[in-house]
Amino acid sequence: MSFAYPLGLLGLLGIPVLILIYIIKSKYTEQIIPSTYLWELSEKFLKRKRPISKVAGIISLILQILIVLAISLIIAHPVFTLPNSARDYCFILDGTGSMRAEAGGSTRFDRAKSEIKSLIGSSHGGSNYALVFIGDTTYSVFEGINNKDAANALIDGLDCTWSSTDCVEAVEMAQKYFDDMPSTTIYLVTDKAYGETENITVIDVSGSGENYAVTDYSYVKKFDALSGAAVYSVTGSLISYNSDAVLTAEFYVDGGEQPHDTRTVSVKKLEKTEIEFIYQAQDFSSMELRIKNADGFMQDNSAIFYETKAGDTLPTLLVSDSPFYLRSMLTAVCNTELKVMTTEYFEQEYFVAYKKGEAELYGLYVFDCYAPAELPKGGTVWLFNPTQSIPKSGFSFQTVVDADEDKNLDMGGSDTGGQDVKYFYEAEYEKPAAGLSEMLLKDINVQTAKKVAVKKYSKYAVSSNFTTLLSYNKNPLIFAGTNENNDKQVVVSFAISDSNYALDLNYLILMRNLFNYSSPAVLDKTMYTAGDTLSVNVLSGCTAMVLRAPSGKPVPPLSTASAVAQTQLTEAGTYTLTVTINGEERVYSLFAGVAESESYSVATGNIAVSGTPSNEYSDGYYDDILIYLIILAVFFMADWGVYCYEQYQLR
Amino acid sequence: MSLPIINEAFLQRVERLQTLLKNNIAGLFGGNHQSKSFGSSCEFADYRNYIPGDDITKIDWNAYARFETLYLKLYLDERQLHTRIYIDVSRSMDYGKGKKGARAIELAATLAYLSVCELDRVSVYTIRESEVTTLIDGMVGKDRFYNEIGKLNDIVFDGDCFISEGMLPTKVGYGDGLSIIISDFLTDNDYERAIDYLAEKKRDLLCIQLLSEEEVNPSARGKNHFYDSEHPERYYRRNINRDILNAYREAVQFVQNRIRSYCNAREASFLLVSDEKPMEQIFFEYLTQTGVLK
Repeated sequence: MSFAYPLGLLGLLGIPVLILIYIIKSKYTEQIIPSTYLWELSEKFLKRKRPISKVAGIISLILQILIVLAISLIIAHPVFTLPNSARDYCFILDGTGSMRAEAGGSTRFDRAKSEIKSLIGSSHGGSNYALVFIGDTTYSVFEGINNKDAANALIDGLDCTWSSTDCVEAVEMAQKYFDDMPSTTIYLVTDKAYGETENITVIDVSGSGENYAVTDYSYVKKFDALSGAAVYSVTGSLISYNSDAVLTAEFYVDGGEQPHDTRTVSVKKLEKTEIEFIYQAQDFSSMELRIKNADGFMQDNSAIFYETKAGDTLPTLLVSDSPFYLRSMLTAVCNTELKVMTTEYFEQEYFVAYKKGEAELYGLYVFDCYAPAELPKGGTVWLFNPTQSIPKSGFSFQTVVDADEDKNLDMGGSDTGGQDVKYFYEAEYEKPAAGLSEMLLKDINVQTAKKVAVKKYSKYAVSSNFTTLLSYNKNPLIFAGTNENNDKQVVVSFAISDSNYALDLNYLILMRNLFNYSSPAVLDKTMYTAGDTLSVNVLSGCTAMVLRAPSGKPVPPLSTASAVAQTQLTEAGTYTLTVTINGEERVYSLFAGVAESESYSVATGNIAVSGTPSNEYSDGYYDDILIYLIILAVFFMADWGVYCYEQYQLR
Repeated sequence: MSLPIINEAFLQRVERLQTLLKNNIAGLFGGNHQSKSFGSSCEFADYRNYIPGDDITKIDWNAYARFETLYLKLYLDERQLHTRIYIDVSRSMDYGKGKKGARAIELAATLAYLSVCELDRVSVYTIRESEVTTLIDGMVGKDRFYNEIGKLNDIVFDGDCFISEGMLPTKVGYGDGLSIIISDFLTDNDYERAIDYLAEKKRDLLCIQLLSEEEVNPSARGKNHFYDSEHPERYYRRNINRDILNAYREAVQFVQNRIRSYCNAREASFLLVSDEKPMEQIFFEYLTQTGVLK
């Protein structure tokens, strides 16, 4: 035995002091009474004398000496060495979504933390602890800690995630601990079942209880052949993981409190039962499928589709003196609120008003064979065959290139739309790379796509902010990117009327893609799985995007610097996305469900930490002073009892 | 010492009480107590045959006319008694938490008033050490009572008290009334010769043992060192526990029984009074039950 603070033993000096006080101090209360006759006479009637009465004073002294002794020991903090008893522990804590399931008033995650803390509490002093947490990522919470309180505090600070991360990386980390210290005891605290677990002790906290889930939730929008009305066919599967069950599915539309439709079905264990709901409407704001039956893991009992608001119309200004081609294309392909004006009107009326800040603003400006003196701000700009350089446009005009007689191609009358074109250039699509070009060339097979015949085009010097989509002889003919006003910009270096492009189906596909790029839906989809990466399209004029998690926890603001902002959905439930575009706030909702792998703890095979465990442990110690505190309290109470016995005769 | 509080309403009630005496009364004529001998009061007692030499004015001539025999008409005799009240004025009677001294004075004053109302003479004595001092001598009538009862306030409780040694040398009268001793009797047998002496003198005797509530039911617990107020050299040092308290209560009972039995053997009355008992209860309950008053 040793002492952590040996100076505390100086408190033992209090014992002789106490004895001295007992000797010196008379504890008898002196007082004068009328007569001592009756007291003296009472001695004759004193029948028996209790032995404790004689030694009561000594007992009190003994107890007080023991109290001083106990206090001294508590201050000195005795430490007992326990040979070969301290171990190294490595705990792997499963913090994935399924650990949120409740049973008996506590979640599996809470029970897992309690199990680990219990193991730590029962271990000998001197043991070292390491904790690997499986959450959104797998990481070491602490390692090499031998302070139980510190370890417990860190464990208390852990929150369960919604992820579906497996334990492979965690086992690899445990392997490293084991390699360093073969005597390490490894515990995996999880709700999942494993086969063989070499050198790993699995603590199952799954408990019991029912668990139902909604899976494979989807919908299809159909149109009635006769009336043309829209019909949504919504399908989903119900599953019961632990037993056969009769489940009631409720279908809610547009956030209503009463279900739009209800269906009760018998579900066999581990067999998916598909159900379908029909909803006749042109649009919807939300469609939710919910299992009414309560279970231990309610988070997977519902799934929600929210509208993407892809149908937002885009105010568009077309500046052209011969708007036939572009107006037709914009009307056919794009969902726009189109306004057309001549170049003269634009220069003399609109641009003057624009400079004064009095003009109506648009989300898309299309300039046909016209180069404005200044690019409008706050909207996407499409420039068709500008023959002048425009400030802050990101490119500069060089020259107009006419068709070369050497490049002769017999296009046939039908392909040219009746025009007699003899000389033209054959423009080719660029090979799509990851990123913008992939998105803009979506649905165009560039390998087999017909080349675009161009009779005349403008040659530009283009900055690196633009991605070329169509080119001839490395000269960009169609390119898109961001101008110096930080607005999206698309440039077509030829007039549509100078090519056969209007007759090509890929023209419409590319224009649609360009329009979606210019005015994309903020969300491509609204149904995700917790742990997925959310992609948000950054619209023109977007200044802020704020995502609010289902739990209300703050989510870092999404960046509006790039075309697409991304973040990880770490929780399950309904997220709210608030997008500020040109000062106007738009609110979107999206739903992140629980991964199917987290709904049901299926057997996930074998896990192993290889190596031969060692039984050589280091020396531990026992330094708990609780027992001394208890003894001290007992002594105090005993002394108090003796005092009361003496003073008040509590017998 | 503060003035004894004489409650007028209480005194008016006390006036209705009367002292009961056991011995034949040999007091002075003119009192309010009926004697066993025949006298000259207005209350008829009996007839007896005339004996030559009797006062012929007491012959009942109506009886002679009917029976032709001379009968003498006899009347009851009424005597004036002398009530002697002895107060123990030792220090133990007025020390500490109790109010024995004040209660002793109240008892003496009330008993004196009762006797005065019965046209008796009242004397009040104090006993300190071995000396009996006359405080009020032969007080008769309410006027004198009111004039002299204030002397009780001059009593100083101090010193020791030897009742027998004090009373034996003094004149206590002979068969002429009631003697009252008010004391705590916290002594072995100092009072016994005095009781015998008064019994020999055919005096009715009432011993009132006056103890404080603290003396009857002591509150002391634990380690205590008691000093005697009358004898500082005497002390009692014990760790007072339940056993000692039980023994103490037995001692109180022993002392009480000893005096009571000694008094009963000599046809004397005894009463134990706590200083916290109300005067109404002492007079209208205890003293009437004891047979001293009716």
